[in-house]
Amino acid sequence: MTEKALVRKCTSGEKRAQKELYETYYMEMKRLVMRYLPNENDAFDCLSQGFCKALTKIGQFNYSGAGSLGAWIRKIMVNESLQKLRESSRMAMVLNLEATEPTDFFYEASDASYIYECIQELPDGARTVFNLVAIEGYSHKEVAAQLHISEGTSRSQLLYARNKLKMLLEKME
Amino acid sequence: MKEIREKINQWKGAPQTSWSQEELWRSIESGLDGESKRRIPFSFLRLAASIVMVLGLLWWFADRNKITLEKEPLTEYRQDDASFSSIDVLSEGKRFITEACLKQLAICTSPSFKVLYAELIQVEEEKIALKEIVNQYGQDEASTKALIQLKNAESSITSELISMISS
Repeated sequence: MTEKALVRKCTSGEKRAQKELYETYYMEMKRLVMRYLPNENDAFDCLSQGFCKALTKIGQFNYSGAGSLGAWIRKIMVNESLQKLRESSRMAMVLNLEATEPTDFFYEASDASYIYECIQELPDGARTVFNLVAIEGYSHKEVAAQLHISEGTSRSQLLYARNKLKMLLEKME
Repeated sequence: MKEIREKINQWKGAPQTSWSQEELWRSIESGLDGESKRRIPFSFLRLAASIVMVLGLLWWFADRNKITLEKEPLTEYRQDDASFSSIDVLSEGKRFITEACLKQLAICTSPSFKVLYAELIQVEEEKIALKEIVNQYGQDEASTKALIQLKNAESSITSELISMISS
């Protein structure tokens, strides 16, 4: 079934199409959400709410080419993850770091699953900023607006995350 | 940064969890059911609002009809004379049916009339739903065909109802 047809059927509330959409995006969204929420119970709640939201609001989705549905669901999941983190008030964002810019050479040598595990090990605030900037590609300005923090805090969180990640990867190897 | 983004996005593995894909789906399903249950009161409200609106229109037409019926003989709406090619004629036909039933004609309470009238309402609802789909996805050949089919059905049902009243 094409993405467009799947959307049309989900809009009319067809159960089979809803399940197909879920199965298509399950793995990708699980990986995404668990990068933000390593606690599997939090991830379960977030995925459940995120998919529910996507399926009930699919009428508002505007198809704009292949991959647009995935990008739309991804956005919902990121927002749900951030919401969950806000609810649990775990995003301590105040950090005063005087670290030097780390080089990214260690990423090349490391396996993706190792990197993934290490991202999950990061503290909530640093992990969230790292995910948004380094993986999702948001700018510091966008992150600052979304998390209600200053751009400086976003930069320092990222710097901290990269340093910490480097340490964790070195430890793992 | 680009390297790590690519690496993570290309990774197809998944973290282990104590819950399964099926368990998560069940939770989503129950969430969706809850959502539709929550929407029921709104459906009732919409239905109630529609009924009030229809009754209001009927009352308005009935009131207006006291003057217009004298000028416009009922024979004008006879099936033989009626042409349902234009929407205006169709709505005039529906107005005639409404007016006739407001006068509590016996035919309006007959089962065959009721069934046909229910069909007319259903066709109208389908037409509205189809228009919503066209607004959302744009008009294509399939939606145009469907709209023509519904309009034809609407015309023939209206025509039949009028002939039942007139006979």
